[in-house]
Amino acid sequence: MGGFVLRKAGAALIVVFCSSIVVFIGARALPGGPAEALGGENRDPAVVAAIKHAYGLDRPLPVQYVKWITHAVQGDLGLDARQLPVAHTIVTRIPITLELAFLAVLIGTVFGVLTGVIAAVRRGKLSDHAATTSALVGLSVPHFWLGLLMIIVFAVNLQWLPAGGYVPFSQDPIGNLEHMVMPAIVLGTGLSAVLMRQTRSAMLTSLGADYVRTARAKGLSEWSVVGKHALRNSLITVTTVVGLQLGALISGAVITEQIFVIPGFGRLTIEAINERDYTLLQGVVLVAATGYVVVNLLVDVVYSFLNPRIRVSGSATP
Amino acid sequence: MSYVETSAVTINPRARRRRLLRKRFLRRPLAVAGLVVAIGFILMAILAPLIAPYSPSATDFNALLAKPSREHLLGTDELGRDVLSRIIWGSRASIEAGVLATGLAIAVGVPIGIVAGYFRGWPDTVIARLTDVLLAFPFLIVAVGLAAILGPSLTNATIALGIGATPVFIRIARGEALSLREEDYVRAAVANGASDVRIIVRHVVPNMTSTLIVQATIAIPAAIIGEAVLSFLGLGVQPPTPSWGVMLADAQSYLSQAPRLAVYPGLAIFFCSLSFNLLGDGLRDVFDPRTTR
Repeated sequence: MGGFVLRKAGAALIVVFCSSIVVFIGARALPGGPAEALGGENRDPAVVAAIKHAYGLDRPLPVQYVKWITHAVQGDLGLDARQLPVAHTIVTRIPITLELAFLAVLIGTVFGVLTGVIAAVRRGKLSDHAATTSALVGLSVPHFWLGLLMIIVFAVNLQWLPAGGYVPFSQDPIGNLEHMVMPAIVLGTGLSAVLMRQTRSAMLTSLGADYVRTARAKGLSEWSVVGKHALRNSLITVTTVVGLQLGALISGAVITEQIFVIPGFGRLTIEAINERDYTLLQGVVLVAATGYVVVNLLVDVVYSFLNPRIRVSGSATP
Repeated sequence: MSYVETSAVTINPRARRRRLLRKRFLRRPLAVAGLVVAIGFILMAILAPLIAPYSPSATDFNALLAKPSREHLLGTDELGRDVLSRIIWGSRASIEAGVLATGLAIAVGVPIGIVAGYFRGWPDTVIARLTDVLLAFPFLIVAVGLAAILGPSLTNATIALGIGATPVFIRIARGEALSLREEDYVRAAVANGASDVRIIVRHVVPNMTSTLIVQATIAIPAAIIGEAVLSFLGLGVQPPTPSWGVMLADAQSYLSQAPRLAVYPGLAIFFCSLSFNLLGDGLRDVFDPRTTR
């Protein structure tokens, strides 16, 4: 078990290292160049050269990279164009996106697993068709459009919820949830659609398995057959799918935060790109990629706990 | 020759399989509907100049934000431009981005994946690790970043979306090549002295096409939505060129006055991506060897 985790962690570390190089080169490929962006309107070559020297941008790229990455490992991602520490900006923005993502995963999982189980148990019935169709709709609907529609209906017409903005939970818990409910539903839709499909097919498999027939033969109630025996084995699928959907969740957060004017991590990414703030951008993307890899590592580990076969076969093959 | 020629009676096995697949496909009404609607959107994009009632940029200052009427079936926008015509013209950007980005991802990803899976060894290790790195970046972040680097335009958005979709195709082609190279018919070809190129062209590629087609029907709607998102964020199609994403971005300022401006372009994106998803679901069933019907 320990070996399995270590090997996975080692692979993750290599991926993070390689992505840091990609991020570093990518940020330098932005048009205009960092020094010109920092110089603003002042295009005097002497000023640009001075800026380049001050930021070490006149040094060779590998030297710049090593300097950046050694600081980054210690939690220092440099100063952005407004001379604010990038790490601090990211740390203040991340909890907002984490809350949004948490609520979205909560909504998506509860709704997706519930409809998936119902669809599987009532296979071929009306509720199955309703659930399958809504999953297809949930997969095809562009999230940002869903967000606009919800704003039109619930904010503009019914005036039940605010159209956008953010209130910290610590200041006003109810106001916070009022601001978060629409974005969380928008962000959770895709996840719940994917989960519904996967749960349904996993449940159909386990409902046909021998141990479920045995459980029924023992005279267990339908509730305990479905809930305890079939669902528990389908949860492996759920874990994997949630893990795999995290990339989509991060992408979705970018556009959701843009529509609902939520000052989170996703909006920060767009701000960094629009303002050509390369220190900020490379910090943001590095943190996003690292977070994604770390969560995937956690999913792998949780997965191996749920399904011991993975651990065994995982250690047999390199 | 020790065996008896029966070619007069047996049909060519490939043609027989094709006929079986077509029969299975036609038994799935949703998939057929998806195909019809998808072809409809493609025709709409090609024939836009012929079927759009107005020019997409023609402004009518006597009819600003006009409600749907006989002259303007879906009404007009804030500059008095005909919404229906703009949606018809907007399909060009979406279809172009969807099809070309997916084509780019296939053209780049599949050869790389085949090299990795077929030859294995160190190229495989390097390619697999690089794919992991690329997959560590969420699709949209890659596309947004590339669009920012390349500059905002439809071509660059298409390239960005194509590169963003490439790792998945590398992974699929690699996996398929890995398992196909162990097949008996590949061993037989090796024994017959076939070269690697010949084996790849004759045996590996034809046998992974069904998987690639299914993945393409997933990648096309993803790229269509991706184009809309990039254009919505100002990183794709630039106004005044019509695009569904640009139309939605413009509509944001008029959500209370004219919410329909935000409804119609979104419906277009929805039905376009739904049609490809239905088609993909149907094809997946049709190609699945476990399917009996």
